[in-house]
Amino acid sequence: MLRSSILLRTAIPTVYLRGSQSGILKQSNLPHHRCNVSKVDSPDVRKLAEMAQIEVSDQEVDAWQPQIAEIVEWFAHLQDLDLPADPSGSPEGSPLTDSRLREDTPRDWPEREKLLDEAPDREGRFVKVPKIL
Amino acid sequence: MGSPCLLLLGPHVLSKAVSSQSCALANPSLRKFSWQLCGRPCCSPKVASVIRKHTKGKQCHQTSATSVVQQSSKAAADQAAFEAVIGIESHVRLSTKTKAFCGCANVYGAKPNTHVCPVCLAHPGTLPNVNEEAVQKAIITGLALQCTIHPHSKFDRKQYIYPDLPKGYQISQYDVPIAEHGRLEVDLPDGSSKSFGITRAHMEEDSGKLVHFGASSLSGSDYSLCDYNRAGTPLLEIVSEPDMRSGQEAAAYASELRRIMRFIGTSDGNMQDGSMRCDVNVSVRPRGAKEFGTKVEIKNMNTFGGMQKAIDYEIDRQVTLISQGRGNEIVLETRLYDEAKQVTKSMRKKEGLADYRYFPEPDLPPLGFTQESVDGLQASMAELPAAKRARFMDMGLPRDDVLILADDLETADYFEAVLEEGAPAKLAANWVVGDIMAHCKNTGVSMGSMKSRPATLAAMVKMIESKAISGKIGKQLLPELLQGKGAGPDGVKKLVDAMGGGQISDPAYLAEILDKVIANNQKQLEQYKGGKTKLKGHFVGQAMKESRGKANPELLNKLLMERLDAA
Repeated sequence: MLRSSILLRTAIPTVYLRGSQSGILKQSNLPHHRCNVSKVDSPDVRKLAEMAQIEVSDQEVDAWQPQIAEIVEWFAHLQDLDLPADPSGSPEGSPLTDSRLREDTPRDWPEREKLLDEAPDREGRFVKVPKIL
Repeated sequence: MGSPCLLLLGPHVLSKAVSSQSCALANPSLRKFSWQLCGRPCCSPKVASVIRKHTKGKQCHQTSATSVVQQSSKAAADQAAFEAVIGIESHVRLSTKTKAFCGCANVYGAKPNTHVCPVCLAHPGTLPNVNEEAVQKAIITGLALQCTIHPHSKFDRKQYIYPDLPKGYQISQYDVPIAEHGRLEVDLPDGSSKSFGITRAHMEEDSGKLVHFGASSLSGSDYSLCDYNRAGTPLLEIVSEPDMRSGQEAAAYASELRRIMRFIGTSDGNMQDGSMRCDVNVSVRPRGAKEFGTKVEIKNMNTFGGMQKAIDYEIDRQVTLISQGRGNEIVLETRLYDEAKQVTKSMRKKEGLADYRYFPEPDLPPLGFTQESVDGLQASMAELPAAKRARFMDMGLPRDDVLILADDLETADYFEAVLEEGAPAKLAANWVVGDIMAHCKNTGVSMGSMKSRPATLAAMVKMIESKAISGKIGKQLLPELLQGKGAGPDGVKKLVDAMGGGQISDPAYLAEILDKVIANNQKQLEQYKGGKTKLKGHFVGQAMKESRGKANPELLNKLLMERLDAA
């Protein structure tokens, strides 16, 4: 387990919004079917934290458990919406050269160094990150 | 390989040598013996003595030749009782100018973090934008693999916790891949062919590159340095059905897959640069069983030869464990191939299936393709290697030559350019597969960038075909042509003239030479008449020498036989 600003920044919203395996957004249910269950189990915060690779204290678990349960409950209302079977809502036969696709022309980002300076730590041209395992 | 034979290293390595036929005798001349000694059927005492002689008395076996025969026979029997089941996941980097979801250049080998932008560095508020070329190349590859192209493909987020993808997820495809249900027909080295199923091919972004400090690998390192140039470059992950049964089949599949992508221009497939990375799943089961055994994933293979060896090693490892009643030691895990030691080593155990928590990518609209656009891409696809091989075979070329000529696009293109200049196929193939290829290998120059143009070789080949010059003159001429000489109209002919003329087909002149040779070799003539007919070659050689290699060999032969028969 580690505490990394990079990981925390990206992982926390994911944890809160996604739910656990036993939560509302069960992987196998995702794109195929509309789920009619509005009542869902509250996710296990400790398991969520483990999947997000973050440490949580017992106090945090106790404090977050009801909050997350509330959030998940709120999202569960989405299940009651009558949506088409294919949530991607892909249009019939959109042409391949649709305006949504980008032309393959390289562009240099002018303020590259400024972007890299935003990294918490650097070494030479590299971004320095904590050990991974 | 320091040891003369892997058999010295222990029973697990013994089984390796048995199936991979890769007994590591350093002396290449012994390789055929290593086959017999360590492979099937068994080694004979005669072979064992040859081995001892060549290994300076070191016995190739741990105990004696007889015991190894018994061991290898048992291992061979174990091998025969089991069947390997192999599936391959290949990640190939698509040859685009820019990354998958931003305009940064997609290049290999640039200075660290020079091709980065707010999108691929995951700065807040940025949105991905799909590269049209990447999508088209993914579709073309899918079509080349006889896949069904999904008309409404979409992207999904796959949760990812390592800092080489700073978003904290990878944009990939989950339940609606761009292509699925395909096939790949492969010509195997033994002359047979086999068809392997393609489960799916889906688009995704690559991660950045991590350099680990404080240790040689990721585990145990103090910290890591990240280069995000590769982060967000477009990949196509091609997943095969578990249809391969040996390392050789798996290597042939991966090799043909790369050949296809190179021919159609969708990826350069360089394994050394990481443009093609293959993860292989290997399991074994009793022959005839329906259920799969526990599969082990192997990574880190940089060549197809390495892949074959890694798989064969892994098959033997698993068969040996099962044969020894230790089948429970085969566990779900990832193993790395150590090319130097030619073994696989456990990297990490897999505790249950990974939960990637996929969900539809909210930042990207789905892709939609009309049949017309897919048909257009199909029509624009370059000729596939299998079609090229079939066409070359139809020209009456030997299979071995065809496999070489159609192995890579540059060779095939060069050969076809020579044909377009009017050279006959068989003769041109001989020159391209032989002298031209040897030149390229020796000089390190690729066929497409040689100084000598295809038209020049074609001109020379045509002169040989018309008997204006002999093949021998051609050999003398070729080094000049390879330096770029002989270009332009009649360039080769002028070069031949400058070298002292072409082939001599004047019967009177050749008769004169032959009469002189026969007169000077009366002793050999008597021996010939006495039954030593092999001496015919002596007369041909002398006459050729006299003509400075320019005599038309067929005519010379005919005239010589007339004289010898009459003598």
